Amino acid sequence: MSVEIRKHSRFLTSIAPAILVLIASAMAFYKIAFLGYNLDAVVQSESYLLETVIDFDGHGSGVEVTLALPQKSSNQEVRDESFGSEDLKFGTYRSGGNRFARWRSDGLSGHRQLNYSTTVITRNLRYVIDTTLPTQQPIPDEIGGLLLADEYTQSDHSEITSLADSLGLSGAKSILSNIRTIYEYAVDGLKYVVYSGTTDALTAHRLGEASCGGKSRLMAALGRNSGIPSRLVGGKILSSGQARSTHIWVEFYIAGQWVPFCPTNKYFAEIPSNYLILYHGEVPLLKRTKDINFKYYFNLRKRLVSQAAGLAKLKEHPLNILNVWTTFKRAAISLELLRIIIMLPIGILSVVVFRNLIGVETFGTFMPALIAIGFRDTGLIQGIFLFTVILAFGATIRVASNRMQLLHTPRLAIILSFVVMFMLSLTALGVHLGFLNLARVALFPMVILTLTVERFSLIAEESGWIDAVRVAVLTMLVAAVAYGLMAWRLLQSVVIGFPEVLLLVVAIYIYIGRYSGFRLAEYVRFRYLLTRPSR
Amino acid sequence: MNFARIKRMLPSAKGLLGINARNLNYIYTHNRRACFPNIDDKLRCKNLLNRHGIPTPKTLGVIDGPRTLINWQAYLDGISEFVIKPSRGFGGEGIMIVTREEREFTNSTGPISTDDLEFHIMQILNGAFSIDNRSDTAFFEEKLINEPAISELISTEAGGVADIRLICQHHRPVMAMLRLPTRASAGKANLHQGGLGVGIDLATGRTNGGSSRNRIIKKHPETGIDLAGHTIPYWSEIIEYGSQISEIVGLGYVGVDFVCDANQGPMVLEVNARPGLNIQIANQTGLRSVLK
Repeated sequence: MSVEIRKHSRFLTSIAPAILVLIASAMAFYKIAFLGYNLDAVVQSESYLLETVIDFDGHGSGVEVTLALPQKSSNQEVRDESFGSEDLKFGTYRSGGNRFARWRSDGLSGHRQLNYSTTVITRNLRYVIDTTLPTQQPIPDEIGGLLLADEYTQSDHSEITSLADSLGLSGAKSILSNIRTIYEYAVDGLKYVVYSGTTDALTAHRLGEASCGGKSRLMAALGRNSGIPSRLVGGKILSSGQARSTHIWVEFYIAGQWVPFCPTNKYFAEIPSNYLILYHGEVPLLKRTKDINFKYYFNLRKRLVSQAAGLAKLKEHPLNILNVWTTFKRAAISLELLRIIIMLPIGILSVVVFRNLIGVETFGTFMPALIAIGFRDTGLIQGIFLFTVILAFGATIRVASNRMQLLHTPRLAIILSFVVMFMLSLTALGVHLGFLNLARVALFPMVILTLTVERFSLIAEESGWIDAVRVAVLTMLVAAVAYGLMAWRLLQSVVIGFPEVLLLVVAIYIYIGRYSGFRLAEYVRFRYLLTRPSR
Repeated sequence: MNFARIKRMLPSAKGLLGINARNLNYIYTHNRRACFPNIDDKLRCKNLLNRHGIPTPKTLGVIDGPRTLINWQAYLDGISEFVIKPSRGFGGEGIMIVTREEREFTNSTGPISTDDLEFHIMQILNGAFSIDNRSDTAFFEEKLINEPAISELISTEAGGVADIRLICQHHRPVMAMLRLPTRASAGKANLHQGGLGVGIDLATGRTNGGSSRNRIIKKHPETGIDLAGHTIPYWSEIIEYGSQISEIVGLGYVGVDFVCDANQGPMVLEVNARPGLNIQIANQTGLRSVLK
């Protein structure tokens, strides 16, 4: 038999990366120079997916649930709303400038779940108040009512009036100085305490301490007392995770517009980018029939969405990849899925670098990248935790099934079945306890988990548990880095706006593919040869 | 530490070969994929080598389907020690050494029933140990016995068979080592499982020091014997056989594993298309400095 030596094509390996880089830069240049692409247009803004889940049990009588809904305003956009109503009659309506969803039934029994989900994009807004603005200002009739005392904002009470006098509100020249005095009093004069019930303005003043609601109501009371129309704002502070807490701040009517103030988190004439307005005034966020064993929670997830303006600007261009996404959307392929697919070649970079440049041993070649995809739904920390739990569970099943001495494929099938059952139980548990991230474990790639369990057990059997755990930890590390690359928002925007970046990644892979130098781990492996003189 | 000293410490300065360079410059260029089945399939490899007059351990029986599976015990008449192997196994998985007294079988973990042995054979046929998990063939092979000169180097409690790894580039042997099973490696000669690697001088067949895991050692950690200065028996035959293997299997860069049997002399146990790199530690020499 003849033994030949094959040479790699030096020409191809040197010219191919150059061609790829050239094509990618030419495309990017064309899009920037002639199609008006820029990063501002493609970089996506942060948004939150707000999910509201309401659970209750009907007992045969009528049920009504009302939920205040966010509305579009100068600091927030509300998109892609969807409602889950089961067999209840559903409708939305407006009242007093607020918007509500209402679910109704004349009589129902048993458990029901109502849902409201929407994507909200919020931004920071600062207001400038003219220092010369006098304390007296024209006030339109329709908001005149917001100068009057109400149940929780007792602006005409003698104690509030004497507080206003002692703060010197009546003698001030400009509205700005009055507002500043009121704000500073609410910030510094009242101690902040965490309190979940409703505290009215008078109580807050008498106690000298209040939570966000009490501080805001006292500000509103002092405002109204000194002639500034004031209203409460109820909303949510956006951050990923799940909570029932809402936040209250206040708005003053100044020179024809409503200006926000938050004495709790200290925003003066400013609404920060993480505040979502849900309603104005003394309105309950949720109203419902009594005695229905009612439970609810909000879940917030940060994600990226294209900016409407940027999208519209690029819509006309023939080479616009964003149009392609719109096409996919029409075919009911989720944008989220496309984002995973397009980021995968970049996530793999972690695998290639750790394997060929560092020399790290993992379960399977691409397994870390596939595990990283699973992390996208659960988040990194919870993902690693869940993965470890499932791996431990699967390995236990594997050890048990080993004692039965089963054939290879049926044994794999058994592990898969148990992994599926375990994950479904985790999901059920997550939904029951209200941990949505736990519930999302169902989206973990199960076959990948099964194969990981098998590899883990094989290594444990052959080289011991310490080795198996070491490889598991390294796999998790590579997966975490892959996840970091794939979830990096700026990088995502760049790749979605300029998918030709993937050609550059291929060029990098060609270079690494021809790297014949040492892997970092080999310096450790050969350390005893390296530190002594050659023979 | 000055720059020249750092430079002297770089692996390339020591002529060491890394995995990337081994794959790119030797395996991909020297070893055609089409020829891999010649060595991945051990039965095929043995036939190929035997046809060219190179001795391999005797095959006692081949089990490749229901008919041979039913009668597997018939192959073992009068045999007291044998090895069960998957033909397309890899990394030593699925190999079982069995001793037999009348109808009682024993493997490394203790007595084993005929049912369990049959189950193990079925596992092999189902591809549980095959390189790509496709269905496989199992075979019985005679158990080899270490040549006395070599068994002297193995601690008595360790047991197992030592082998000699010879790396050849085409017809040219370039580096060799003796692999000794230890108590720590449970009788296996695999280096990553704790076996010892002992460097061999190609010209003389004399050992010149050893390695354990990634460390360089002078004495056997279990017996205290000096590892250098022992002569490998049948060295000229090993070199002679080794230099023919590359051409026979059609691969230009191979690791050939020999066993020196006490009764039959040197035999080829298997051929490897991706020989490991720790042989460099055993010899304290880089492969790059001896490869062309």
